Amino acid sequence: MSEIWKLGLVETARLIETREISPVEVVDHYLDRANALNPAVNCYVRIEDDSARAGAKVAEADIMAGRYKGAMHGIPYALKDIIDVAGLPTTNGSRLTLNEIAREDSAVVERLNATGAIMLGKAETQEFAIGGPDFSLPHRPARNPWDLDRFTGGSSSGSGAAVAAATVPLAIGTDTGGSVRTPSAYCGLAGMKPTYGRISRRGITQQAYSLETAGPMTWTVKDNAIALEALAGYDRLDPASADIAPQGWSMAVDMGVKGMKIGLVRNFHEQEPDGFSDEIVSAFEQAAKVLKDAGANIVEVELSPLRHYFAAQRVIMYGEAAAFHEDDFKNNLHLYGPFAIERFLPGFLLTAADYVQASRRRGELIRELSQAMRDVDLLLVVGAVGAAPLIEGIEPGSLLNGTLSANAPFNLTGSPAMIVPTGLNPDGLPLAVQVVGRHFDEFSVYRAAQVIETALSSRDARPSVAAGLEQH
Amino acid sequence: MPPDTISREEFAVLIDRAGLQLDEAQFEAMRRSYVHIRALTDILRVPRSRKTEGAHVFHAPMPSADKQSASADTSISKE
Repeated sequence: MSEIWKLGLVETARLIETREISPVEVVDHYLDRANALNPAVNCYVRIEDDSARAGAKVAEADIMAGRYKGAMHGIPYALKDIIDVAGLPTTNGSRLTLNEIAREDSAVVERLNATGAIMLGKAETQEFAIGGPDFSLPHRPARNPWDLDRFTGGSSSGSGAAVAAATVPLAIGTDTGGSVRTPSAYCGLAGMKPTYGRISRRGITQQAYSLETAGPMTWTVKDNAIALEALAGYDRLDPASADIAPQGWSMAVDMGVKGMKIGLVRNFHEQEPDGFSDEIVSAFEQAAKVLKDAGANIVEVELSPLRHYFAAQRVIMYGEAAAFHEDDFKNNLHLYGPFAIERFLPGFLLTAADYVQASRRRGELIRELSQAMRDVDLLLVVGAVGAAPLIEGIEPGSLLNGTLSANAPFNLTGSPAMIVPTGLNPDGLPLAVQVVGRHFDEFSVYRAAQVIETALSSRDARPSVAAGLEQH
Repeated sequence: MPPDTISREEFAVLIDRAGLQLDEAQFEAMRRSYVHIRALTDILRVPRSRKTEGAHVFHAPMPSADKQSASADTSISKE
């Protein structure tokens, strides 16, 4: 079969289960694509040809022997290179850790291995999951498959590019302030930041321990739901892990939103008229109409200004990151790239009182959000600030120049939040909207996300770099 | 409102306190960005009662936990 890359996770899984295609065929197909496209897209820092092919043969043998494990069996995936795989370097995109070999698998990898999924490669990451597109580092920044002159967003930049280029049907990213969701928005993917505690952080390099979580990045919402089923679950070795059973999220996508009550959070973007592009606001309004037309009860919800959520998230992020990097900043500063230096340094200029004030504000804003969500099932919020910018124009200090993020509030509150594609702008670049749920209610998020995807985003439109390979 | 800028002398004190050694370009870049950092921390200061609960709750280890582990539980919980 020559077009496996167009199938996505769900259909590939069905064909593997029915033995119409073999995991060996699937993995060979994606390895060929990854090796062919990586020189242009820079989505991988290493591609594991041998181990992936060996894993595929094991999966094929198991399936032929009647030991089919489920929808992830034989499915290849990419892993952000801050997540440990035993025996491989976890470079964190940094000279500091370029040759540090992980001794054990992360919890994420343990879970995916148990499902029979196959790791195809380590995806490029911005330095320690915060640095920007830094051309001074050993690994060149990933390029956006929709336009190779444009930024993927970060910090799960390689993960986003790898899925958008269809070199893999699933990538695992991490999200501390939007690092799954921004690349998903810029690359036209479904990207889920689940509730804090849903996915174990064990074996993932810390950036800001109270904010970050791993999350799946996929071409479709349903692919994403299946991936989360594989990733989620309690881990007694992660102190933040929640002992709450995963739900059958893939069932949610067929349920629609009829009768659901969905709150539109307009004040986040209306109070920041220069912060979000007109086309992003238009995408938000289109999604609201789609949900209403599908039978949801739409209401207005006003939260505190976005700046309040953003400030608390940033101060906590900077403070926790500074504590993690303190020793290296004092002794090995020359090994960091300029983006990471400028983005970690603010944490060293905060006071203890600043961090405690941010934590107090966090508690207040969590209570505000929880109160608002007693009356609604979901919130609809703008996603990224605009379509993907040009990669060359991004400066190291750009994270500090007052630019806001509508993703950060939901790291602060720990809520599940998902980026859903809403189509392409006139330049052919993806646009998106964000759906936010109550804590541990990813199920409702997937219900609404599927409705939006079906109405607004043809999943047939692919980046030319991904489609072009097929014609060669 | 945050100040428009911070003097080189004042900023040098902050960098010294943090124990960092920056080159001139790093020093100036961060000095210019400092106004944005202060803008973030100023927003956090909202009026609160003196009776407002602290941000973190310290839980003393339970007696049974002491028996299981000689080390104190230093975890904090939010909310």
